[in-house]
This record gives sequence, structure tokens and C-alpha cells, in this order.
Amino acid sequence: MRGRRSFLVSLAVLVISISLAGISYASEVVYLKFWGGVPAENGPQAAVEAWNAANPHIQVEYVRYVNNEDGNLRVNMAMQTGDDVDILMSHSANDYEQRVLSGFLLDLTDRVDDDYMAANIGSGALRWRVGDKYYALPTNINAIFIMLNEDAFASKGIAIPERLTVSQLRTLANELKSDEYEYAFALDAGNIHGIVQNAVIDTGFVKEDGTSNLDHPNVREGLETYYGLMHEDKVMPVLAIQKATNMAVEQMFLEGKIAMYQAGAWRLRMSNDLKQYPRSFKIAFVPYPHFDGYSGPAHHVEDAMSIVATTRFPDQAWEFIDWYAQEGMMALAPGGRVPAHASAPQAEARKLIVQAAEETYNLESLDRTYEAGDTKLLPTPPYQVLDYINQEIEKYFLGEQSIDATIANMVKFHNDFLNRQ
Amino acid sequence: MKWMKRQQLAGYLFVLPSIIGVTVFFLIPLLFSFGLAFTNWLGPTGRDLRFVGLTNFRRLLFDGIFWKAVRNNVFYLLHVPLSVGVGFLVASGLNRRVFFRNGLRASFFLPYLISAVAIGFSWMLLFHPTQGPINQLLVSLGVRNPPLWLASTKYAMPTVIIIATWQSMGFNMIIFLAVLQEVPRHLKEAAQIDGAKSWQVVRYVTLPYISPITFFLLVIGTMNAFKSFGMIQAVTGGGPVNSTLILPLYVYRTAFRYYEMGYASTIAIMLFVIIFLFTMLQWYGQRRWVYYD
Repeated sequence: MRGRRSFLVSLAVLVISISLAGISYASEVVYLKFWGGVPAENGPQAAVEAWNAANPHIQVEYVRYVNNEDGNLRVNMAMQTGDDVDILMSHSANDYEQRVLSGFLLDLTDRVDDDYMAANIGSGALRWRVGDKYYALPTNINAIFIMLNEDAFASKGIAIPERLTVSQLRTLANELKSDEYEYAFALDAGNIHGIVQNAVIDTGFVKEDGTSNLDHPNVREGLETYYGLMHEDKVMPVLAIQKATNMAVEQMFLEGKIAMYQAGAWRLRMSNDLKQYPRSFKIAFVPYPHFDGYSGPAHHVEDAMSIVATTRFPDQAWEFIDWYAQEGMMALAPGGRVPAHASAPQAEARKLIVQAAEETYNLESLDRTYEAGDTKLLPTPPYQVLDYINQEIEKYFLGEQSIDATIANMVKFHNDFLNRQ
Repeated sequence: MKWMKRQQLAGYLFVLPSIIGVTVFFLIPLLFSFGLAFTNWLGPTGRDLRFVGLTNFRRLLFDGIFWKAVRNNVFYLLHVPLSVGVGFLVASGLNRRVFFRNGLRASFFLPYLISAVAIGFSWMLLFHPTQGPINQLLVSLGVRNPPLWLASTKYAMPTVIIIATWQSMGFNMIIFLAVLQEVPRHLKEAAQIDGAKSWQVVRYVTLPYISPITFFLLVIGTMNAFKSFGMIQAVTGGGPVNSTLILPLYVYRTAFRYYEMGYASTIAIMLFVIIFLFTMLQWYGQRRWVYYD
């Protein structure tokens, strides 16, 4: 009887010891949920797996959200209800600002300030500054450039340009005009407001006296130039047709139907895929056009990672973010993303983004676009203003209103908006 | 007496879940939304929440986009009488002995069961300005510049109306089919004996007899038209140049893109007022044309 009792006591002690050991071990492992809009297979999953293998005490799970209105709404609701979000990657500065002002994200001042950003990220980081603070660390240089069909240039005997003004772009498009190409130039319809952002790159959307700067002469020049490209020169798709037909201009460029396509590094995944999009021509690159005497648009610095205010593990979350920005991002390079952090091997990443098809690019011109000087961050207005600009320039490009009415309407709406603020 | 009380208690217990549901998910949000209309609720969490009185309503008066959305919504209403009319014609046709009657009934009703978004995308392909079969047909018939349909500010709303008519016609047809079978045979025969022609039988016997159902379909259709969202959001997103922007889309955009919850609530209240006015108008108008036994 006694033997049986002592056996049971020993068993109980053993079970409790094992349980306690388990609890103490489990309590050392921190689990973090990292939400981002990049498809898991484009690199984030590989990065997280590499981190998890090297850091058994901080395990990270990647949750992908779709980076559109519904997806961002879902993210906000998750943070509002205290759902499992420890680290968040924001992709739009407007959504990010709403999150900061709503108190969803931790102030990173102790870890990241202007000096840190200047030394490690560059001027593009200003996009993620709210007030005089940062609540996120941008991780990716989303390079912007015009992709050029080298054959189109060679057949006309035109040298690959190193830099272009807006008016030179129009001249070049007309020189490239040929029956071999449906269009000499195209850009993604969703980026059409970039014309206006580019026009006020040095002066901003608001004048010093607090009124709208949308009547800046560059705005008129930019809109008239692109209108001319569409309707007078007929070398660029008319915006309404492009939008309504979901014209796949990126595919048309790779099929050799468009000579110049204004896009960015996010299209390299497609141009690298020679099986699905075979092509015989080499692609060269030139930075986005700039207005004469003004700065050119700087590459976007985005995929900004924040620590969510409700996390119980801010230090561990930062540890992961810091690693991701410098080392983890290399897993995303084959997917077209170059790390924004100066400590990351950026040159190596630049090779990786074209590794599958490096023979089919003019790499010298690609390097030039990455290293282009005299650039500035494109200013971004709030969504209300951006949507209105889109609406008005769409009317203008449809031929439904004059340039004077377009500018007058934009200025009036913007001033009303500024007065309301 | 005790038994009566116990019965009443049992009754209340049965309806309690429903009362809780309606209160939590309908009444409280409704009152909350009404209160929000007088605030400047900004962002997802309502930071700097302040009572602003009638400021949002004043802003509404001078908001060109709001008035455009109201005009578009009224224009969009056109699909209601159209779908009721076409539904009636199809139901009349299929109320007779026709070949493959049940199959035809099912195929006309099918669009009502399909997701609005899926319908939207299918019609986008049909109305594609260059590669869509509709414009290819028009070109083959000699039309030089066929409409750009959803790409044109002029044709986008009529195109959306065509899609909405097609989608809601099936429901109307089913309801009409049910009620057409109820029209007393002897009334029709009496009219025929008195020398009424076919269209006169329809005009003076069938239509008055089914008028309460027609009224019901018009009221429900109008309410639904003011609340439409999915199909238009999928097909045009309110464009081009806001030419298909209707009030629910504007509420959504203001609330969940601009995070101006207070102003979005104001628009939502105006939407409620407009639906209420239209329903009252129909209610008073029915006295002239709806016949009850």
C-alpha cells in the first residue's frame, strides 16, 4: 500500500515538474504576429522562416492582408479590437497617418529619429514622418523609372537618354512614333495623378500663405503635355479607354507593342519571367521625367514597419523589424524589392532583382536610375484631394472640360478643403 | 391569472433574442450614427471628437459631389420601373403554355441568385469598348463609333441601369408569375364577352388586379435602388468622373477611405430622409392607381 502511495506521489511530482518546466520554457518563447500586404511567396515567408530558425525564442508568424481599401479597413479593425497584431507593415502614407493619429502605432523616437533616417534611409523617409516623429521604419526602395524598348531606340538611331524633362519626353515619344508600335509611351492609369504631384515637387501642394498651389504653372504644363500625347500626337493611350478596357500596358510593353512604359521596380517580376512573357529586345531605363529647372521624383521608400501599440513585446518586435530591414529584406530581392536600409547589401540586392534575366537588361542604365541625383520626394495630398484631382484631370483628358476649368475646379476644391481643416 | 402571466412571460422570452439582436445590431447603431452626424468624428477611433452642431449639414448643402450622387441615384431609379415592366412582360409570356417553360423561368430568375459582383464583371466583358461582343456587333452592323459604355461619362449610368434591370427582372417575374395565376378567369371571360380585345383585358382587368403587387415591387425596388452598392462598386467604382457615384458609394468612400465618420453619418441620414420621402410619395400616389378588393 505504502509502495503504491509513494509511487503515486513520485508520479505526481514528476508530472508537475515536467509541466512547470514546460511552462517556464514556453514563457521564454515570444510569439509575434506580423501583418503585411506583400504576398507571402514574394519573400516575407522566407524571411520569417529564416528569422524563426535563427531565433527560437522569438517566433514570428506572417499574416498577409490585401493592400486595398477593404484590406486596410480590416487591418484597422484588427488593431482597434486588440486582435493579434504586433508588427504592421503600411504601404500607403495616407493609411499610415490615420493609424498614427488614431494611436494604433508606437512612437519610435527612441529608436528612429531624423539623424537615423538621414544616415540609413535617406530623404524618402520623410514620407513616413508625422509631426516631427517616426512611427515606422521603411524597408524597401520601390524604384520608379521608365522602361525603354532598346530596339525601338536603335531602329530610330536614338541614344538611350540619361535624364528627361517633361517636354523632352513628348519630343522623344513623337520621334519614336512608328507603325511597329501601338503607342510610343504609356503609364499605369492609376498613377495619372503623378503628373500633378511631380509638378509641385519643389513647392508642395500648399503655398506659403496657406492656399492651394494647384495653379502652379507646372501643373498646367504637365497636364497639357500629357493631353497632347494622348489626343494631338496620339502616341499614348487615351486615359478613359485605358481605364475602361483595363488595358494591360505592362503586358503590351513586354510584347513589344509600346516603346516606353513608365512604371517601376514592381514590374521587374514580370519582365524577369521570360517563360510567360518572352521578348527579344533588351530593356533600358531612364528616371521619371522632371520639369525644367525642378527636381526629379525620388524613388519611393515604402513597406514601412511599425510596432503596434497594443503589443506586449515592443522590444522583441523592434528586434525583428531591425533585422528585417537590414537582412530579412534580401529574401525579397528576387521579388523586385531592394532594401532601403544603408546597412543592407543594396548592390547585391540590385543584382538579385534581375537575376533571372540579367542578360536582357541594360544594367548600366538601371544603376543610373537608382543613383540618380537631384531628386525629391513626391508630395502626397490627403485622399480627398487626390481623388478630386483624379476626377478633374480625368474630365480634362476625356475632353469634357478645358484646362482652365480643370485648374480652377481643383484650386477651389483644395482651398475649401484647406479651410475646413 | 397566474397562467396568463406565465404565458406572457413565455411570449417575451421567445421574442427576447430577436429584441436583443435588433437593439444591438440595428437600433443602437442607428442612434449612434444619428448622433455622429453632429460630430467631427475622424479616423478609425474618433480622435479629437467634438460636437459641431449643424456644420456637417451646412457642408452637405454646398457639396457638389453629394448633389451629383443624389442626381445619379434618382437617375439610377429608372431601372426599377424598367425591371418591373420587363418582369411583367416576361411573366405574361411564360404564364402560357410555351416550349421549355420551366427552363426559361429558371434562366430568367438565375441572375437574381448570382452575386452582384460576378454579374458586374461579366457585363464589363460584354461592354468592353473594343473587344466586347456588343461593340463588335455594332461595328459589324456599320456603327462607326460605338459607345464607350462604362468608359464614357455619358453612357456609364445607362449601362449600369441596363445591368441592374437585367439583374432584378427575375425576381419581379417570379412574383408576377405567382399573382398572374390568381387573376380570376371569369373576370377575363366577362371582359371578352363584352368585346374587350386582348390588350384591353390586360389594361382593364389584369393590371388593376395585380396593382397591389406592382406597388409592392416598386416600393421595394426603390428602396433597394437607393441602397445599391456591390454591382456599381465592382463595375465602375462610381466613375468615370463620378458619373455612376450613388449615395451608398459616397457614404462608404467618406467613411472608410477618408475616415470622416461624422460627415459620412450625415450623408447616411440624408439617404434615409430621401428614401423616406420617396416611399411616402409612392404611398400617397398609390391611391390613384392601386386597387384593393
